[in-house]
Amino acid sequence: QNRTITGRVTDATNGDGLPGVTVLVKGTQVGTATDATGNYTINIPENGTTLIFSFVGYTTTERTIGNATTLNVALATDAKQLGEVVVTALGREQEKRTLGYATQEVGSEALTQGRERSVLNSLQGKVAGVNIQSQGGAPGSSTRVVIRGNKSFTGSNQALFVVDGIPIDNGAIGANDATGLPDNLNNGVDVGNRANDINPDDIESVNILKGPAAAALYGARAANGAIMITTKSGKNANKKAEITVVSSYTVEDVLRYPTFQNSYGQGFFGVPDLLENTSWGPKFDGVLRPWGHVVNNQQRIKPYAALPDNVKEFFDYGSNFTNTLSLSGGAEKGNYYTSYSNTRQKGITPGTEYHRNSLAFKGSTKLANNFSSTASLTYVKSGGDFALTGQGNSVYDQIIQTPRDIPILELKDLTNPFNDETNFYSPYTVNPYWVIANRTYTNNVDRLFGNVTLGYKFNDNLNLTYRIGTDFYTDRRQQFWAIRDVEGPNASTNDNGMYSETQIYNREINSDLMLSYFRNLTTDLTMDILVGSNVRQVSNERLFAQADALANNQFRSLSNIVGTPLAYSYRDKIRLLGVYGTAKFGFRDYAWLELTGRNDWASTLPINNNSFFYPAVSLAFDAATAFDFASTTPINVAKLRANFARVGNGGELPYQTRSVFVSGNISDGFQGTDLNFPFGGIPGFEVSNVVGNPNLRPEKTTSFEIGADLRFFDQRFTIDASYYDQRSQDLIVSVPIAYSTGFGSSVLNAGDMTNKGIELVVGGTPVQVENGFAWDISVNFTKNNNLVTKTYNHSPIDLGGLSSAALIIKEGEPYGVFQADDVMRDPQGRIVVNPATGRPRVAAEQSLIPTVTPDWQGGVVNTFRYKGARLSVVVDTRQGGKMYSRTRATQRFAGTAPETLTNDRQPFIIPNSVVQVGNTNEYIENTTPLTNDNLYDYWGNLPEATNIIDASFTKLREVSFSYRLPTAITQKTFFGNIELGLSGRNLFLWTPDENTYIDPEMNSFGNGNVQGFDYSGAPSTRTWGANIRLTF
Amino acid sequence: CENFLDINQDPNNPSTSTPALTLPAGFGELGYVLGNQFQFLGNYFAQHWTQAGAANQYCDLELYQMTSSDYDDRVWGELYAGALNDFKYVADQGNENNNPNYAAIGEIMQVYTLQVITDAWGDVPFTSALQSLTNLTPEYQSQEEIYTGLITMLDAAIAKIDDDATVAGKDDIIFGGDMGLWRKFANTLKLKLYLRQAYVKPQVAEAGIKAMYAANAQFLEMGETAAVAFVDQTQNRNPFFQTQVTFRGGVDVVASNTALELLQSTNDARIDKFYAPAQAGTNQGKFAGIDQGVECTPARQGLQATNYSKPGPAVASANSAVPLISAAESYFLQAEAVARGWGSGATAASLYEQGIRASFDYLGESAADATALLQKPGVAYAGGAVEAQVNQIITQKWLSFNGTQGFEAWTEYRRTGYPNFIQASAASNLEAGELPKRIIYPNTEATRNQNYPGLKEIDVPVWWDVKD
Repeated sequence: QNRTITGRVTDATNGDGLPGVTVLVKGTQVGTATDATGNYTINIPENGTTLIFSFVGYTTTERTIGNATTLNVALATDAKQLGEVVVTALGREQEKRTLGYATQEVGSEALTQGRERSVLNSLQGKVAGVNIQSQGGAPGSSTRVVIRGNKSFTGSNQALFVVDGIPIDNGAIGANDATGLPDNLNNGVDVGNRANDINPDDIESVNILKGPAAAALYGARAANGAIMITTKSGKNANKKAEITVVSSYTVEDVLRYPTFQNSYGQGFFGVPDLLENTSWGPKFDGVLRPWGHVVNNQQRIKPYAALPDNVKEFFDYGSNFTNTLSLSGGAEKGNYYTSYSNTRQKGITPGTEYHRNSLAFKGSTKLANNFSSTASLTYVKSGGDFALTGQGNSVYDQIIQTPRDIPILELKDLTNPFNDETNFYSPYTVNPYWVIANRTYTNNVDRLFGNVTLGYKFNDNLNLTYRIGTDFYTDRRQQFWAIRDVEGPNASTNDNGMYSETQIYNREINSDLMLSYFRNLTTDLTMDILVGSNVRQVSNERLFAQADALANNQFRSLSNIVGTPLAYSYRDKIRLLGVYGTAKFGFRDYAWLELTGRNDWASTLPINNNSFFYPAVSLAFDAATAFDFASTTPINVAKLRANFARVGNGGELPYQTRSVFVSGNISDGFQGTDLNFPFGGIPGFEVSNVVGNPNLRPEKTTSFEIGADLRFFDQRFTIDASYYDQRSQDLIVSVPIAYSTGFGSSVLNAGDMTNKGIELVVGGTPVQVENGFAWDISVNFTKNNNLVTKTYNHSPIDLGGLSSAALIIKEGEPYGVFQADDVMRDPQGRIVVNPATGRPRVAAEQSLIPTVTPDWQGGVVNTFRYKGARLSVVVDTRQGGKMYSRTRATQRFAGTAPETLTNDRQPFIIPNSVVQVGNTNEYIENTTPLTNDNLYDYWGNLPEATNIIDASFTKLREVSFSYRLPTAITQKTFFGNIELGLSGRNLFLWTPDENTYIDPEMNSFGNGNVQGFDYSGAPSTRTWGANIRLTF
Repeated sequence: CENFLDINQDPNNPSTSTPALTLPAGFGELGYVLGNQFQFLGNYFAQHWTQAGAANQYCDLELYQMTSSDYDDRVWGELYAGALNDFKYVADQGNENNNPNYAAIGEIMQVYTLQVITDAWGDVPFTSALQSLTNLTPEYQSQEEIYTGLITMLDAAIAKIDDDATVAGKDDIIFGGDMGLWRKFANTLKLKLYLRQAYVKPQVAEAGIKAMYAANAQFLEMGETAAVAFVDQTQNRNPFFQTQVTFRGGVDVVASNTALELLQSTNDARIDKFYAPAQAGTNQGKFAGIDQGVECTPARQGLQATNYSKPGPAVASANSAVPLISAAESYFLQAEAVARGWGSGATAASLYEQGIRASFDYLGESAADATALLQKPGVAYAGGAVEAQVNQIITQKWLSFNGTQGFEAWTEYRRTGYPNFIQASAASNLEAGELPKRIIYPNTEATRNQNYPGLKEIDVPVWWDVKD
């Protein structure tokens, strides 16, 4: 008999009633829909056993009726829904299933759940095919994003950043980049990358276009893929204004401290030395002894014993307090979104901070006369007080050298006479607290980016769109080193002081005019055409002035100097014109063919040869629909895709086509030791060491990709897999040439490189029970094989680093291998030592140590939901790859590394070592032990190759928990929603045993191509905190 | 549209230059290398300086342990692609634009620079060098061929000097456009090139030098030291001063007992120009040195540099000049030529004395002090057999180079074996009694030039180094 069932359908995430949900008796035509509050009533026919609840954006759910008279159902949102629309090149919204190339979307929830300041860092572990590496733990530091491997030798390898359809700048100008001075290993500062200016709370979604085919419409910059950021709008807002407040507070501390030995303290050659900054003294005995200098006939006393936490005590707890207030609203003909956000981050290194204030507005209207318009504008003011890296100024470098028995915290009070410049205990280093107080690097950025779009709809099929976008910023920086002028033993650390100002101005303008036309050609065939043009201009200006001696420490200005300031100015400008077109044909809703072409004319190429064309073709085919097995098998979607594209790269570097003369500058690599013209008032222009190339061509990347998008069991199990094969040719390289030619390099099209890889994203909902509990899991795996197949003349290319441990590009190896000074080895690989000292000899030629590139990487994202509660756990791993660790070098030199306890510092013979007999090829066993007297020489002078370590790691990347208060409670308040959350990031780090030093993700040289150098940068951090989200 | 895209002209750097704009750059580059990296290397190897105990920055120079990356981009590169290429540009422009004096200066300085290069590394690219993309793999030529070629080149350059043609101005930071002095400089350089071959090719040296004297060649005289003058202004200062005194805080370099004890034994007045008194410790206010290399061995004392004599005002001042050829050197070269019977005119003894006087003069010491020194046993010219005379001449020349011309001091030691009291550094990694005989070829040549001849170890002598 017929019976009636009633119930309520709610949203599993917040318990709100869902209106308009289709409720259908399975196997019948009987159905109804829920009312405005989510309630339904349905009459069940006699043979009805199961109800099906379905609603756009939610997972279709079946329930057995049984004897129930009431059936309440909580529907889970379905992120993987079939009709998913994603943002593709030029900001076009397309249905994902019609795309012939791989994309991966990350929604706002996943981006903001960890309350991470950087949008890029919050993508870590969540996407396949993308290598995202945060470069350090200092506030405001940078992140590198490379999609599907490096494609350029020395040009940018980072993805293009696009906000609401318009490319924006993601440059990272390190302290050494804007000065015109040679790179300085003492003065590295990671001042961040410009994507840091984006407030994650303003983002609706991020879609990653992984291959060149996907991004081909962006022309020259598409080879590296694109990160498409769509900001929030008022599109889905209710008619009333909706106010959202998000507040979060996180705390951070050092993720990985180096392991220290705690057996030996201050001294040298095994004897105490109160001036030393090394731990080569005698064994700890706990006896009370004086330490430091005698000041006013007084001396401090402490037990001669290890202080296992003396380094840990130095670091602060950092914090990040972020508040975002947003307001959005919509009506039929228009909507708007506006927000203000404030982020204040304090670093673990005392005194370091980063702040960001952003104000965003986005609004759009549809006007009656077929016009529509959208405007989006973001103003950001950001800046910080940054941590210094390197061998000279990094406080990290100083504190890890500090003897194991020196109480670092007791050095903090600079007014204490024992701690001041004259009486600080060691003349070989500077009180780290003095450095923090007296050596600073600060900046202030003002940035505006946005665009205006005007649309005109001729008819339902034909639309004209014009969009103009701009992105400009000024970055004003000040660096200050106080004068140190003392007498006595610490005079060796005297310094004349230094002050510099840098002004950076960047501006990019993009203008696009696009005409789109859509038509059903037949009932089976659709056609979607777009043609357009792009005009782009990018200009940079730099102004740098430096005084290398100050008059006093009272104020920070270029007027407070002794002598003549150094000045440097630089400007450049590039322009690009492009026309493009794309035609997409759809057949019977299961096959799509897209043809794309773009032609660019670039100012950076020789004027008579500056035009180049990029074609792309992609195909998508859904077998499940085509062969009609979607409804008869558990396979919902069986989409296959394939594409081919050829894009260029290299229209970015100006002034490479002609040789020039440059103002003379000669350096030996030490800070401030340059000879710079004018020299005694006389100008001097030297023949530049770079030979210009009037025949320059753009780099080409040819890419072929196949992939599959498979979905099973009502999409509870999904597989998205891609295989790609990319070949980059004619790479523009500053080819090093032998100096004996009179030049050091020439810019040539000379290099080939391939990237072949697989990406796999497997998703599933293993558990989804009626009470609303659901467990989603997504596993991603990336393996990219990079191979440098050709370099000019087979010669290696130096990317940077140290001369004793450089990162180079070498034919037949993956991108980025280390070349370093190494110990001498006999033909059997045994270490050759000096028979007089027992210490290893240094090989005359450097060793090659592949590679900085990991073998593979992967991540697992788990999400658990129950009613209003949500728990997300992200683990990611990177296996293989090497890095250089200065922390290891420093700890060995200073005798603080655990391995310096080898044989309890008693004489030992280096295992498996030999001596060379005369100048012959004969090697005999070494019998000379290292003694107490030269242990320091041994550990302190090991060649740099021995400081290259395995960079593998696994991280508990993110754990977040949020709870949305039930509507029953919020209804009683004036809040629409209340959501409370806890978040943690980088909570645990696992590394191979040989890495007792650092987090392998850190890199001291910024987010450019020189990766894999721990060069005494600020250590990375783990963070945890709480947040609240309120809507009104 | 064409105009819109035609913006690729670098607004930051000129696309053209002139000899007057480029000549100073060449001098600066050469002076920097000689006054910095080669100053350290030469003065350590020639034992004017040694490493202080409380630091170890330059222990590799005491260990005689160098790698192929040590003197690469910033020395080999700065000499070939910097100084040499700039002098070549000056010479080429001078030749093309009928400006013979610039052509002459450019060519003379190329010869000077190439001699430094070949003396450091032995066989190096010469006639095939500096051809840009036309020859990316310059062939290495034997040092013997290079020396022959350099003399030919120098003769051609001297012949171009035209006293009636336009001369350089302040851009000639060596002689201010005085072509008479350039002629003397070139002659002195030529004498130096011949004498370098005195042991390996004595007949060529003899014939060449005799021809010069027959043609009445004039050499640099008292007060005519050719030097790159550094200036006490930001980034114009003496590079040794900048590197050691300013950047390193003066913690590394102190007097070697090898040189210091000789100066003390003769009460040589120049001691306070070459060295500064110790600032601290038991030696405070006195001159004190360290036995060569001992602080880089387990026997080290480990005391700070302030306990010893650091380099003195002649080299360690902000405005210390870096001589290319000093007046003293000119006299010592002439003295050797006469002692060997190849030169004529003044006696070897008087030229030797002039050498010492010129050194005093250059350092601002009084003539009376020079006269006093010249009376001292061992300093007073003893005459005797040719080798005995050469020994005395070179030993005094070596003293005059202290701190200021370290590279030439080491090079002349390699050629002659004088001063004969130099013993290997206590920290030496080489076989007993050996001192460095060359610099290892740089990495950039090994990796970029297919004609790279392969590793030559530091103890392999260069061609002219035939005497024990």
